[in-house]
Amino acid sequence: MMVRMDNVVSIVPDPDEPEEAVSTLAFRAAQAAIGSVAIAVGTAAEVVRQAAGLPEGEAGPDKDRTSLLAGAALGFVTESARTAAAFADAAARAARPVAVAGSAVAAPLARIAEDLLARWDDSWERERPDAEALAGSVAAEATRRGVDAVLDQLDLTAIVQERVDLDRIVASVDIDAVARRIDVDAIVARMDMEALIERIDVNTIADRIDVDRLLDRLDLSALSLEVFDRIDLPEIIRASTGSVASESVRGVRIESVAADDAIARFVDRLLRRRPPERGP
Amino acid sequence: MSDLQVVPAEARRFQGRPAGIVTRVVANAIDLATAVVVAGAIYLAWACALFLRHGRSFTFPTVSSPIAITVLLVALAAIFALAWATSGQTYGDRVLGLRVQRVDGGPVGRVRALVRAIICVALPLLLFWAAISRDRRSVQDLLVGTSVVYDWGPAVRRPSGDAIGPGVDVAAAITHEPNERQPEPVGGLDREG
Repeated sequence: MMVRMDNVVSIVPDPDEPEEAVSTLAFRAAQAAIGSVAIAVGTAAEVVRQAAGLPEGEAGPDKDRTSLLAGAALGFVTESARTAAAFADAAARAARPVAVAGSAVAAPLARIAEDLLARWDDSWERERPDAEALAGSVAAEATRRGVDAVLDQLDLTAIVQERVDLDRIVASVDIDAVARRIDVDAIVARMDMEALIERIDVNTIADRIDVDRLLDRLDLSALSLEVFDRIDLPEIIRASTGSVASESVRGVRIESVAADDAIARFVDRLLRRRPPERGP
Repeated sequence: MSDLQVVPAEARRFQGRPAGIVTRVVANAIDLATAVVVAGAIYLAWACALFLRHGRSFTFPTVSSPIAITVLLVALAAIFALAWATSGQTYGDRVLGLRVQRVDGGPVGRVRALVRAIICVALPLLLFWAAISRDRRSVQDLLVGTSVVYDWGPAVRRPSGDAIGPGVDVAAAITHEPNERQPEPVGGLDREG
């Protein structure tokens, strides 16, 4: 049901009328409430119709009758509200002189009115859950349609590009935290490393390396001297070229030196002189 | 490469010190054997020459012992002189790790090497003075101003003054004259008893 906005009655009081009666204001309030209810009922009926899967064009005599009854009910309520407002107005005018005297008569009437109100309230309380659920679904559907209608009219992307400072938003994002949440291992596990390696030309990379410059940065002579210093080079050479002959020669040399010293000590003793300072 | 040590650790302590009589005698024995080989080679060369000249009528030449001994001694002297004038080491010296040098540590020199070679061949027994000498110098050494030291280093002679093992002041060790009665160092006392 479409609501025609061009023939909405102004609720602002007409300034030409100097004093508007209380009954007129009350009637207008009732009229607004009934109109709102009518709109809500119309929307709800539409939602229920769509939920039930009935096509819009299906217009039978029952539907006409329903519309007729609904309109009649609304008109009746409107007329009732108008009459009630007139009565209330008249009562307000008449009540002033008889207010004091009528208190004795008013007490039983008030009790009856209270009973009537209590019955109506019970009836409302019984209907309330269904009515509220229906109203909730109506509100949700109405909101969805309204938002859709608004969004259809807007180019959100353009608006964001025009109005939003994306740089500032990106600057406020903690990329590190995001990166920490990324499971790189899982990503790597999904990758085909063999295919990746096959695409890398190692020779091309090696060609790009300036080996000479790399070597220039190394002090090779100092490095080799340090290496020689740490290892027992004579021992290694002896071990690698260590023939029986060289070992024998070494033994002969050592033995000869020992024999030299022995002879020297013997001669020293024979000549009764002290041995010189040199070692054994 | 001058920082590299090529001498075994256990031999470094006596590098550059005067060599004793046993080592020198063994070295000389090896040199004598070398001279015998050289003399034999000379004999064989002579025989080959004769064979080429006489052909079938060739017979090995007979050599009288004086000539043989002379050839041997000349060969020995030549070996000595050549070795000492160049590297300071004969083959025997090389095997035993010895080197002949001047008292001040320098190379022997040609004239000195020749004179020393002749004396050594002519009067070999004078070598044994080295056993008695406190500086372990033979009479030949005293006559020509040389000394024989332990040197296990490479055969190539290093520049003069650095001819011996590192860290040893040979010149200071040898400058004592053998007959001088100098006060003995206290360090030698513990070996007396």
